[in-house]
Amino acid sequence: MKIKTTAAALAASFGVALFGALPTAALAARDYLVTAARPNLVFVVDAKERKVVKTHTIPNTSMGNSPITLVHSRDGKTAYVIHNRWETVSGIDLDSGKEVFRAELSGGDIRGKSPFPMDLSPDGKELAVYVNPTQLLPGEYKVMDPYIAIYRTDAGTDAEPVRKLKVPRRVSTLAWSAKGDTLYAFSWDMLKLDPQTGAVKGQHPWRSWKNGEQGEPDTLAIWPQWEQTNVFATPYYVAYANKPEGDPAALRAGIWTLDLEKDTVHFKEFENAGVVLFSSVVNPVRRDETYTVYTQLTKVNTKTGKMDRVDLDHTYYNVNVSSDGKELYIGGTQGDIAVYDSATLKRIGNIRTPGGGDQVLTSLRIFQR
Amino acid sequence: MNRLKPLNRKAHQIEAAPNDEAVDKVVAMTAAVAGCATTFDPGWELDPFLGVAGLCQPMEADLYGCSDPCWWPAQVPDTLHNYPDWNTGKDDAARDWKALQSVFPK
Amino acid sequence: MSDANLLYVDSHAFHDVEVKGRRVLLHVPSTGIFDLDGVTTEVLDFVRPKATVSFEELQQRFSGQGSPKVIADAIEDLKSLGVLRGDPAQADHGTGISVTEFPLSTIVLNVNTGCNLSCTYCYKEDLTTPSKGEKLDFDKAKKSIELLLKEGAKRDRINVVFFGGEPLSNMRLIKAVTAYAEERCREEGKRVDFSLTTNATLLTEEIADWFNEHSFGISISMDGPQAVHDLRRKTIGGKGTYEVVAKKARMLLSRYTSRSVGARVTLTAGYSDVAAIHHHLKDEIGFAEVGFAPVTSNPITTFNLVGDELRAVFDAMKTLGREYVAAAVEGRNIGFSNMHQMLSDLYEGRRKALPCGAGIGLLAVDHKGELNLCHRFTGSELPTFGNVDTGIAKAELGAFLESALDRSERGCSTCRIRNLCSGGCYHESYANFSDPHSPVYHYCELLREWVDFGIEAYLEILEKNPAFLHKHVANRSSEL
Repeated sequence: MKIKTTAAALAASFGVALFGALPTAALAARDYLVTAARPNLVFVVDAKERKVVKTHTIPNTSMGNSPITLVHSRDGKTAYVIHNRWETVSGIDLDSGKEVFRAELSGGDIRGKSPFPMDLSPDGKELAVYVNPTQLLPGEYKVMDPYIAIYRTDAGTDAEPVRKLKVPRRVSTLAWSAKGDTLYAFSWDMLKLDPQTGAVKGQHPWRSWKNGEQGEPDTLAIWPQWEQTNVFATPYYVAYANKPEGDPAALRAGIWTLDLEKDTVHFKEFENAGVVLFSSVVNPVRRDETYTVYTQLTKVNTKTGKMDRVDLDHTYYNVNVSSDGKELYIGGTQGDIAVYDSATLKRIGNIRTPGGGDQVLTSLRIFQR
Repeated sequence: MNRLKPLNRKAHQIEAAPNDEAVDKVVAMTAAVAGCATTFDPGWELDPFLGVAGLCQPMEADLYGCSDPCWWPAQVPDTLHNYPDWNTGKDDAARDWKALQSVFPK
Repeated sequence: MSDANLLYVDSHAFHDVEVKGRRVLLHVPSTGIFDLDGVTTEVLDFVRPKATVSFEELQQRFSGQGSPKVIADAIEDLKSLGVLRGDPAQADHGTGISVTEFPLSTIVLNVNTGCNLSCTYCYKEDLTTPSKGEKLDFDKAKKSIELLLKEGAKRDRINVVFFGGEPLSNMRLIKAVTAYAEERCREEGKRVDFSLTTNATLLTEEIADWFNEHSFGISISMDGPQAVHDLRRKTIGGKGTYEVVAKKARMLLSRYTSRSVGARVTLTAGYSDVAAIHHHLKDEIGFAEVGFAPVTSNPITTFNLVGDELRAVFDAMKTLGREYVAAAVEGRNIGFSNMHQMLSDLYEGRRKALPCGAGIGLLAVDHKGELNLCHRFTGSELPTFGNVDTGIAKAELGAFLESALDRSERGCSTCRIRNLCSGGCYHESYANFSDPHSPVYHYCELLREWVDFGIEAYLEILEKNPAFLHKHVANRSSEL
């Protein structure tokens, strides 16, 4: 700890960024992974070096439950993370480790929890957090309506929302459009909200997408991984009523993408459902290529539907891609991030979390500096 | 209830059978309905395909991932609301699961 | 742990009754009421005399008696109610929660300890004439309202009750407090309800109309036809008050439109013909409903209903209760408050950890501004729990209520109506045994019988005219 502080002071006095070697204008930016681990850590990894370069402690948090969603600013300077049994959002300066932002979602007799949905506006100025409030009365709990709290990221450590948007229940993902003019809220359908007023401008059907014999698609979308491509991707399952029971084709698996720039969606089925699929990411270089993880790593071409698959050494929830599209970083669940070759799907490296604590349900993000 | 027939409101609540005359609406209380990505999900003893091959491997990979959001509320203590310290200090589930203890209502 | 082959029987978890050949089970821990079918009845009857029963014994007893699944289902049902369990039954020592919050919904203001009558059985220890009475001053009354608003901050609706002595002897204060409470509640966005009990002798048309305007809930203390009423409810000079009270009651009933008006009857030794009293007050005077309070704990023991006479009163209550049921089956409501209350508890399946809301939902303020457990205790020797200036003495009041919750050293812990009676009225216990926490041993047996009667009545109405329950009984009592 002392060393870091001294180094930080030194670096600051030389006016240089702390990351990697002294960067000059000539050096290319490097990929850094940022994620969280138990009990209360936010850490940064030099992806190509496979090395943890920064470990920060989230202050004032409950230890028994793990940090969840994490979103970073584009400039790689700050990471916002939901923690403290989902009742607090903190912004951690990734250079100094200082808590530069803190919003408490609970207050008085109202317990507010954010069950994963959070995103930072593209200009880094506003943070959207979905909150489920419950009023704890002496004899009963009173369920209140959920809302999206919008905070200014410069609001400091006593942040109050500048506005609260009314929103339906069941939101699992919040995603700002690339231009910042729409806030997508993935509820029963993918809603397009006006980030100023919360008014529903439109929607992409999800639950209501069923047509003919095809039923409602089903997904669990709590792993934001779209920062390099602005394409939200998630695996889904869908059942077909016209298939006889026991027919493997009665349940199909696919990848669903929502382009946050173009506002277009795309469903691509690629196999009869056979394995569990948790989260997906689009390759920033080969945009038709997606990767999906759980206990297998599955590569799917969303144009052709061609699929490749390997077994992983254990279950992982998260997957992200290097900026050059060559490497995959597979994290979440336990205390390591596996590195895979995106072309061959061979394992080429591994990174342990600081202290070996589990990453559980946090997000695995990547930025360049 | 298999054979006992409820005769008053409390008995109905116990039986938890939907009742035409029920006046109260039931509103879901806690946070994420963290359902896994299939339309049927029997729990954690079986994977969504009703086998065991699809379960998290190893089980410890998923222990906190599922217990944190109360996905197995009956099988593990509720760290989200009531027992926040159940797994404090046991941050590497694969290594530390043996140290996890039971909890007892206060 | 325990022998996996053995089941323990918790005989205090249930009480079953037989009504016209039908067996019904009251699940004591929850006040759930269940129909027992033939099979479950047999299983229950087999296990009930035992402390433990093994699976072998069950198999032996029931082999060849229909499919094993049916027996297993019955056993499972009894297990889910805790009647049969895998570990020994725990005695009911109460909920053991600690009481630190007092979410008041109701404040009772003793506006004047003085009263213009001298009813022989009155329990008020500090009763005197209206002019000599201690009146609550407006400042303390305002503070009482503020206390209610503060402690009852989570409530949407609050209640202000005016008591005495005779509340009408201080109308000036009642009007001032009403105006104040209405304005404050407007500011706080709450609804406020007012009520009082009066001897009615001081009622005027003007007062009646004013109450009507403010939707007061009114209860008139009247003991029955003249012969009964005049024996106990006298003026200070010793004259019977029936004529005046009947006239005033009729006057009120003829012009009171905002809420229904009830009569409160005090039953004392010698004058306890419940049906006749009810008939007179309901049908001849015109009250919407009539509630009976048997006097059992008066310090002047001549009034107390004891022994045979108390028994006779309960029998009389049952007779009226049977009339109530017969009318209910026909869709008529004869307004017998005591039956309403019991049926409401059974319909909802109320499980009471405490006998009433005293101290936790309700507090009474005396003229000194002291906070009393309830209106019966104002002017008594029981210590108060704070006052309107300094607030509720939370530690002491919490300790009192925790003591009330603790059933461990009382007969209550095994009593089958413990979650409906919960030890009975604190004042009854205090007056009879000098201990507010003592169970009401003087009528435990009768009360158990009364509840059995209530279950029978409930079942009959449920079978023959359930709509009556939904219309007249549901949502009746306010719950904390």
